[in-house]
Amino acid sequence: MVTLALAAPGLATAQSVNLRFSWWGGDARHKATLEAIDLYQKLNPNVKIQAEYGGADGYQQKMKLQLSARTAPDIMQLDQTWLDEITSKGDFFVDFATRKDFNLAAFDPGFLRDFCTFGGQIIGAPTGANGQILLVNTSMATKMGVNVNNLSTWDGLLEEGKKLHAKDPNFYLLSHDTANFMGEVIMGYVKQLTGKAPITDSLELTFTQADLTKAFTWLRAAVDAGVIQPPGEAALYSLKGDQNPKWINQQILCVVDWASNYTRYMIKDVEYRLLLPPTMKNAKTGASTMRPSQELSVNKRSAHVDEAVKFTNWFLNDPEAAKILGDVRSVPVSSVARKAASAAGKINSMTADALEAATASQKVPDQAASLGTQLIEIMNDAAMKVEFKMLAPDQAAAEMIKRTVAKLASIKAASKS
Amino acid sequence: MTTSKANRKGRWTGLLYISPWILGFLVFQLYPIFSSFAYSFTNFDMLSVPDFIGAQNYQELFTEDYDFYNTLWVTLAYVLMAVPLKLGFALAVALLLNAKIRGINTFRTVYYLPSILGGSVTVAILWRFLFMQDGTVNTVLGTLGIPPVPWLSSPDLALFSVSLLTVWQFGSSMVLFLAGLQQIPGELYEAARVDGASRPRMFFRITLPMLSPILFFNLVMQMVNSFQEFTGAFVITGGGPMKSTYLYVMKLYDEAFHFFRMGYASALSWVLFVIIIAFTVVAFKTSGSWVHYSDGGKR
Repeated sequence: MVTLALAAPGLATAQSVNLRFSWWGGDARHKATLEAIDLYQKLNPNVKIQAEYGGADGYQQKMKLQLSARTAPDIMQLDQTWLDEITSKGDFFVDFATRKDFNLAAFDPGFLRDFCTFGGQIIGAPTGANGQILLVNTSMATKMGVNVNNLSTWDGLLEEGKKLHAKDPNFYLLSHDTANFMGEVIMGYVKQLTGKAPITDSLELTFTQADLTKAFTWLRAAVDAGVIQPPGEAALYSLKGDQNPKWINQQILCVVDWASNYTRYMIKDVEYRLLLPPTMKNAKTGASTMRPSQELSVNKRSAHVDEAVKFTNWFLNDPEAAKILGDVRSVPVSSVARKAASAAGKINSMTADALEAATASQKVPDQAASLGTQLIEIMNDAAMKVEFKMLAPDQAAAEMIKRTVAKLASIKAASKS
Repeated sequence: MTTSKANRKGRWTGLLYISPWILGFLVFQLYPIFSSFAYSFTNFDMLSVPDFIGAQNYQELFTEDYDFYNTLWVTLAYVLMAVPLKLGFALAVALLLNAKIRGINTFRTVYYLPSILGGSVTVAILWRFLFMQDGTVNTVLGTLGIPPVPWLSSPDLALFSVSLLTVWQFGSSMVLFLAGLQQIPGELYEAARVDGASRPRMFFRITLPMLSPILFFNLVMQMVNSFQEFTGAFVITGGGPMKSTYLYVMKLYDEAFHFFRMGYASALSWVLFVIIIAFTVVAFKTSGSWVHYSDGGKR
């Protein structure tokens, strides 16, 4: 009799759901995300979310391998630069635009169009807005006589860096963390010259050898003047600029990085300022590259797509979630989450101000293909040859253009077949 | 039971006992080997179904790949540096450890320890801290009045610094040399001393020839391993500076897991296989002139 009662309509319990959620980050992000997951599970007792988290190293490879093996988690935190490559190989993610249970209206349509739409589908929901900033150690800058107000232009950066290094050869003005530095210096400079994304949707270059030569010329001048640490030494701390002993000992004064990352560079009892990255006179676009901090995607092959989408929507749009998450993934893009997190005092004012300034001076966004790993590799190779004085700036520019055009042709050929 | 029945039963029993190994070999070695050969003729990217593209990967490798020949030369330079140095150190230490002194077993254990640590990531990270600009090695050199050496930041020195990690792990080669030294009959040295031979002469005329089979074995094994070196360069320098430590297997890794060109990476792996086979064949062909077996026979 008891069994029959339990089986009667209206008395059935919600189906038990297990979801896997994967992300990368630091301790602060892990702690906040786990707390948010706990809250969601309390609100939805039938749902169990298995957290899969770690550092950034190797995360991209792990995700791509899991996608290829069809063992990827239900919800994945991914980087915008990977999504274009992944989606060109197959249909892996849910299109949020087709989901009535996902509040896309809370996101800026332009942001979604520029950064989250691939193949006409919105397959990534942005977690936070990120912009490139120049973090300046003002305590040491003042001590060493660096004019911080002169760091807003490429020429000013060269001038101050040269003076600093001449004063003390152990000091360098700008950190040479390869991952951000090359993209910002080389392609950022080129974008300010042309006002266009370096590569079009039809995989054509928008810049000339002359444009690229100017960028490489600045880079060579920076190396010669001691503005940046010698590349051989700096390469050992690629993606780990905060662990560079020269940064820790305050012998490097500035670093270009994303607004969501700057706190990891900060040393106790040292004062910092967040500025925009350098620009030039008559620049045809802004100073800061903007993009999503990360994007959340839902695995199309998930056994519980509805619940996964529901959780993702809650994670990004719910005020209570926003109060827990704050700015661990930078300032939320969702207007609902941003308002709630700000009201709860969970958004660092320095980050918010920096992002506001970056948004007001945005560079033209990159076309997705230009962020492909092989093209970035070509750019880094050419830049390294300039830094190690193996090639003159114009030679490096010619080589980079030749190799990029060849690679774009092979990407085009591969996508047609 | 007749003899043939008993033999058949014994054979099946034997096969049953080794069946786990056979299964493992078929599934985890033979199948992947043939699969990678098949994939090398496709554009397999792991995310989509592979298409057959003929020898395009091999053609691109030999005629269009910007890094291919650089990684080959870097790897060859690494092998030519690391293998002789490692074998030289191993032999030198084995000669020292062949002495009959008190506490010799402790010394043998201590010198073998680096090999137990192996080519692990932890050791590679430690190596980086030792050899970086402000690292321990430069600090010690500084106390001797020597300016800092760019061990890992100079394209001219980085490969040597990375190869030192392999050389440091000479323990397994040393143990084999030590075993070989202890097999050399003492009468040979006695007879040589009676004839007035000097120590260097005894080394070159007795020790080395008697050790040549082990030397040959160590040479082939270390050469094969060195061609496949990855962890040290990957962790210590990431292939830099200026790709001066960008070993062949690092390129293979990048193509497979960074760019997701698994078909192309498979082609790279088969080219490496052919290169290693070629070097091994050359070693075997030339061994007849310098490897001496105690029974006088050639192998």
